[in-house]
Amino acid sequence: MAEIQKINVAGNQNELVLQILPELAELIRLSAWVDDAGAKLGLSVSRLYAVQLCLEELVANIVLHARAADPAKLSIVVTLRPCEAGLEIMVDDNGMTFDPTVTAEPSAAHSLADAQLGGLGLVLVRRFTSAFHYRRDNDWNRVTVLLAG
Amino acid sequence: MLKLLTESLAPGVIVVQLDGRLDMAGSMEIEEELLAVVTSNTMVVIDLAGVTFLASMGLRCLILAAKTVQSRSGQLALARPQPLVAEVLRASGADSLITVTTDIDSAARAVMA
Repeated sequence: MAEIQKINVAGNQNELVLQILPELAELIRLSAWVDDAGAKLGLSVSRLYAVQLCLEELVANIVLHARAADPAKLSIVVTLRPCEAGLEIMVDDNGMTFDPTVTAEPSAAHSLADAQLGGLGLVLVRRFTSAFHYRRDNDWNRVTVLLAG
Repeated sequence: MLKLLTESLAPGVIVVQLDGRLDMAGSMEIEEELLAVVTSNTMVVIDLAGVTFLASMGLRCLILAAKTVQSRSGQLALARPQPLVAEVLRASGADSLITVTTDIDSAARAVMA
């Protein structure tokens, strides 16, 4: 089911696409795919790290929290798309509507005792990207982040 | 796969060496063992030199370990993070809550202070 596809789209951009199951074990395969994709796209070490980080956080969020009317049909599609502004990362899922871009960040802790253990994933996505968008389209959630440059 | 090794650095000071990816899979592999270490020691240095990737579940693991040590009136420090791992510590604000050093000796001094 999982595969790397090169899709020639308008403007001769090359997208790399991976479909995965909503299972934690798939994160390991996703990581290996990102390494391979990074080599194909010629990403720097720091850029590759940012892609790995964003996808780990966004996909783990879906695997852990997504709800679907029929869980057996829940699917996740990851796309890497080089563009003029940098590199777009898109994560699609057909679960129920969920917009992570409006999720409040945990309040800044002033001491270790006050530190919250959750909510750090989306904080990191925001810090490592220059744009973070969401849209709902034909029963699919699409989150798009941009790594500029 | 994430590996965890421990060694005694000085009387009462234990160093936890982590090697591999501290992501969701890695965190699940070592969390129980790490918590066992921090609940039986009060001066703990976590050597991150071998950690090639740190994500939020790994951060959660490190913060939980530090909170556990502090709740027992101990100290925990992180040592030798690779540059991109250090960037995650900065971006998350974790470096303002947990001492982060560039060498093991400084971390040891911090937990013995």
